[in-house]
Order: sequence, then structure tokens, then C-alpha cells
Amino acid sequence: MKPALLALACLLLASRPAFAYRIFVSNEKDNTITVLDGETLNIVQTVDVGARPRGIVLSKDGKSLYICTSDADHIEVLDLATLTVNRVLPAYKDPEFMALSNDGNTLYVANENNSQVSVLDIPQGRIVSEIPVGVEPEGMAVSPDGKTVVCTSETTSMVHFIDVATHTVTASVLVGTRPRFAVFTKDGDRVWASSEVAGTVAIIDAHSHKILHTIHFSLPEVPKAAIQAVGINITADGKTAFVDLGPANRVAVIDTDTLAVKKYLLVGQRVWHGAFSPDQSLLFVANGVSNDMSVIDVKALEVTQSVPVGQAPWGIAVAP
Amino acid sequence: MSGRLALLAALALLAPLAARAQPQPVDPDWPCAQALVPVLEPGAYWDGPVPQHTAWRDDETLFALVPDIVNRDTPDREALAKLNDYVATISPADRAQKLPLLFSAIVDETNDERTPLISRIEQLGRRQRLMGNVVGNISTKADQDPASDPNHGAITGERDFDIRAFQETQATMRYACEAPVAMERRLGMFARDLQKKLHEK
Repeated sequence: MKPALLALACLLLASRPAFAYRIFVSNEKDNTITVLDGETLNIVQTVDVGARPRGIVLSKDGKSLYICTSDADHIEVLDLATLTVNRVLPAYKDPEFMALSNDGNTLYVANENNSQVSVLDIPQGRIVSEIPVGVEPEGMAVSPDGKTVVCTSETTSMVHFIDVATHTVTASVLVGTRPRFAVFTKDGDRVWASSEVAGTVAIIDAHSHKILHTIHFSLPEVPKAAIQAVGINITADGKTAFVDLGPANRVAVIDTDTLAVKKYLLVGQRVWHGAFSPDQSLLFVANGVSNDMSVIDVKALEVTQSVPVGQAPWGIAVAP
Repeated sequence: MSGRLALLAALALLAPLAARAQPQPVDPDWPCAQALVPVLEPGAYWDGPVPQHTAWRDDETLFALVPDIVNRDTPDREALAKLNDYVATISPADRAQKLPLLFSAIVDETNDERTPLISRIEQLGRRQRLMGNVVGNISTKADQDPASDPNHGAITGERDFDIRAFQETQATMRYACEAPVAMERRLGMFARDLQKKLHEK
């Protein structure tokens, strides 16, 4: 290689930022994904995507981000190397949230407007099955063994257990009003499901489908109607859960052994969903009204920073 | 499976369970995606106690300041500048006592502006719910065999008009729902600014 070309190559390599990890935030009002450098928390790029991006999920190989663009009625695939949308996957009307199968080849998509979960084969790029569930499905999660999918339906106030092999609902569990999010514990034995209007989290036995416990939240200075449980993040060691409480503007910290609330952290306004940094030292949460992302120190249980992002941030994903 | 068939199948599947369902009721007239918070409280925005300040309107300075900065016609930057000008007149020693009271007054005024707005949105939601019933009924009539009703042409015309009216209102609903959100956002902006001032040395 000629010296000039070599110098140019070195310059290009040197000028390309080496990210330890990146944070992706969907902004439902301005139709963008904000991309931040996880170390500096500076915005690297703002990517235009389809209308009303909400649920976002990272592919298993970490190379793509799946985006529910709800008002565009499809799912966009953001290539994380080039930060461009390079593929569009089909969906029914108003896809809001989704979960990825453990092999990374199937997306289970909650279609809010037609009361069904669609099963999307990613390599084929087509919907291979539709599973009727309750009205206004939203929260989606896949069990650690990959055999079960759960879906919450907001209007029916249920958590539906779906058998992956047969694509049928095997159990429906009545929970608090307007359940919006569900997550399996790492051992697959329990499902934590948050209910927005009830302001509670139900802990369900994933095998017997019985509710084992319901967590209630109480902030004396905050009206009960403002305590709206939405996103849940459980640490990898399974010891601590963080529950986003919407317009209470708090994240509740829960000891998973005692199921007691240890602390309430004041964050931005209408906190929706969150994601941990790869080393789990930080939790990032999206605040839908204050248009920012709060940074929580997981060990100290303190809010350390607020970072402005786009308009009406909704979902967060972290790519190592 | 079509959307309608999927919905019917889902309802059939869930009917027995839904019949036993006893979740708390959701206001059927609240048309916005975000669950309604009828009254805002300072504690949702403030870390620590906020005493009620019911007599703030007796204070001439606050009576002039608070409605002005809460007013949605006052731009954010201008409102913050006016708030900061006022805070600058309070000695650092008095801020721990006076800033929470000031915020309490701002929340009070915000609720005074927001409550009638919430009522109007609920009225709009109620009207739209009733209009949905009207559209459903007239559509059923319009779906009948044209030969069986000499007024069929008038009925389809009425149906089209009603559907248009419904859709136009629906299109404005999202904007209407943004108004209380904008007020909450403004309140949060004041809270963060005042708490920052509170912790400044």
C-alpha cells in the first residue's frame, strides 16, 4: 500500500469511534431511534425510522435491532453496523411489542389492534401463524427454555401462556387492570407481570399458572392513580428487580427474596421501559414525558444522570 | 385469519374467564392512550415533603408570577427565566423552606388549568363513544338489502356522514390528549429546576 493510502487508512481507522457498547432508545413521537455511546452517554446518531417506533429488541447476534413501528404497521430491521434500516418485516395493524425466540429466528409480535400474537419467521420474512389472545395484547416474553411465550392483554387484564410447539393458549391468568409487560425469571419458574392501571406486579408460577404474590406500591405523597407499573428489569443474579412506575416518576427497587420494595428512585417523567448496561452496573430508563433517559447506579441505587433523547422515548435496548 | 375473525375467536376463547374477571374499572370516557391521572400531586415530581400552600394567591408576587409561568402561552424558556428571576430574590438560607412552597403553588395552578381540560377531553371521549354506537347502528341498517328499503340511499348517505364525523374527531383526539401531557412536562421542568436550585450551594 502506498504511504498516502496507508496514512488515510490509519486516519479512518483512528477516527472511527470504538464503542464499548451502545444504547438505543425508540422515540415514538419524532419517529427516531437515538443511538448513544454507553461510556460517554453522548448521542452518536439519531436515526429516522417508520412512524411511531415503540418496542425494540436486539437480535441474538447483536447485529440488528428489531423495531415495532406501530403506525407504519410493520417491523423495521436496523443494521447496527451502518445504522440504516435495511429490511422491513411484515406485521398486522399496530405492532407494539415483541419477543425473540431463543434461536433468534422467530419474533412473537403483539398486535394491539387485532387481539392476536403473530409468529414471524425472520429468515423467511413472513408471518407463519396467528394466535388469538385477549383484547389489546402488549407485553411479550419467551421462557428461558424457549417452550413458552407469555402475552399480556391490556383490556382483558390477562397474562396468556402460549405453547410454542402448538401455537395455542394453554392458560390465561387474570391479573390487575391493564397488564402491559411480562418477564420470566432466569430459572423460568416465575413470570413477573406489571399492571398499569392497578399499579401492581403479579408474580405467577409459570408451571401451575397460579398467582403466588402481588406486589403493591405505596408512595404517600403520590396519588394512587399515578402509580402505574410498566417495565420490569431483573438483575442477572436474580436478586433485585426494578419496576418502572409511569407517571409516579419513580422506579421501585424490589428485593426478590422478600418481595419488599427497598427504595423508590425519582427519575424523569412517565418512566416506561429500561435496559441494563452489559456489566449490569447501570440501568437506563426511558422517560416518555420529560424526553430523557435516566441513569441508575444499580449498586448504589441512585439516579446519577439525566440524558436528553428524542420526543416521547418508549423502549431501550443495549448492544454490547 | 381476518382481524374480525381473530377478535371473535379471541373473545370466544376468553369469555368464560372474562366473565369472572374483576379488575378495577377503567373510565370508559377517557379516550387517551395514557391512563388518566385526575389530579397532579407535588410528591410525584419532588424528592421529599412538599407542604401545601393554599394561601399563595394572597402573596402579590406569587399571584402575578405563578399563573403567568403556568400559562401554556408562555414559552418554556421565558417561563423558566421568570421563575429563576424570582428564585434569585430568595436568600439561599430561605430556599429550603420557600422553594417547596413555591412548587406547591405551581402544582395548584397547573391543576386549576388542567382539570377543566380533562373534563373537556372526557366529554369528547363520551361523545365519541356514543357516536361509535350511532355508526354501528346505521351501518347495520346500511348493510341490509337495498331492495328491501326505499330509503336505502338516504341511510348510506347518513352512514357515510357519521363515519366521517367519527373519524375527524378521532384524528383530533391524539392532539387533545397531548395537552395535559404538555402541562405535566412543564410541571416536571419547573420541579427539576427548583430542586437544582435547592441543592446549589
